[in-house]
Amino acid sequence: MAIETSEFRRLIETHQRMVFSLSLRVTGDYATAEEVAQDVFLELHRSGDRLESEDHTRFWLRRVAVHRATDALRRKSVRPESRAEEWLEENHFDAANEASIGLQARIEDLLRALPEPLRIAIVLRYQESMLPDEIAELLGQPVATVKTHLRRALELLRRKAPVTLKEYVRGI
Amino acid sequence: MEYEHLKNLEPSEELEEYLTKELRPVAAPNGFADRILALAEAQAEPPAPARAKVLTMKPRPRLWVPTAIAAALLCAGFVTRQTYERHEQQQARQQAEQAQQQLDSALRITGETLEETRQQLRDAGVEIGN
Repeated sequence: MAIETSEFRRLIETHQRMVFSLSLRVTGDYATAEEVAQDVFLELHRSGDRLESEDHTRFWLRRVAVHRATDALRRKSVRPESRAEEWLEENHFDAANEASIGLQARIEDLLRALPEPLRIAIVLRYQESMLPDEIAELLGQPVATVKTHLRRALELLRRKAPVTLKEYVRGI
Repeated sequence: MEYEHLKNLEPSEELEEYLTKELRPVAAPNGFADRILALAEAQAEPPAPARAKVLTMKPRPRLWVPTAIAAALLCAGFVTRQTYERHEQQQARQQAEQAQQQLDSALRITGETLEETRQQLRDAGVEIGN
């Protein structure tokens, strides 16, 4: 049985930022992210009565959003998954334009260039402030794998983001 | 203190602080909730009533076809079996007749030989019984 309209509206308004942001940062595409987020909430509407608490709902939404976004990414090839080695060799930033690109845009670019599992780990860790064991539970992966993904992602980001970081440090 | 936990991963507080700051959730598109509510409502609407059924005669399944095939197979099996049995009987009869003929020949030859021997003995003056 579907959940009631007023309760459903409350759930959407509470979690729409989180679901949409996860979808956007995993797929890297605004329109796809909107579709994914929409599907996630419609699925919640169909199965919402099985969710026992607010924490359970949040956990469910995060997991379904990540899975749906990953599926959408693979299905539509929104952006082919980058390999770490290729990523390191490529120049993702045009030095001439760097000054005109905002920090937010640059971090999104950095994220999009990361391989998919690393990107998901980083988004859950820093957007959702989840600990590695919570990420592991959400993704059904060993904690060690999540830690490896996080370490590898940070390593890759650190090698590509020094300029961006300098600007950030100057700004604070 | 907010970023204290980040130090457990790597000694790169700047990058992690930067990520935490920059990866804040972004706003969903305008009217997002309303669109989802409308879609959910549309999906929850009861399905259109089923069209009235028109009474039609269902074509009767052609049951006679498999029945006829089964009967033909049965007949063919029966005829084959009969033919085989008749052939077997005929062969047995021929063998029996051949055996009878051989026995008759053997008896005849034996009788003739015996009679010939008796005659020779009689000619030689030897007295023999029956």
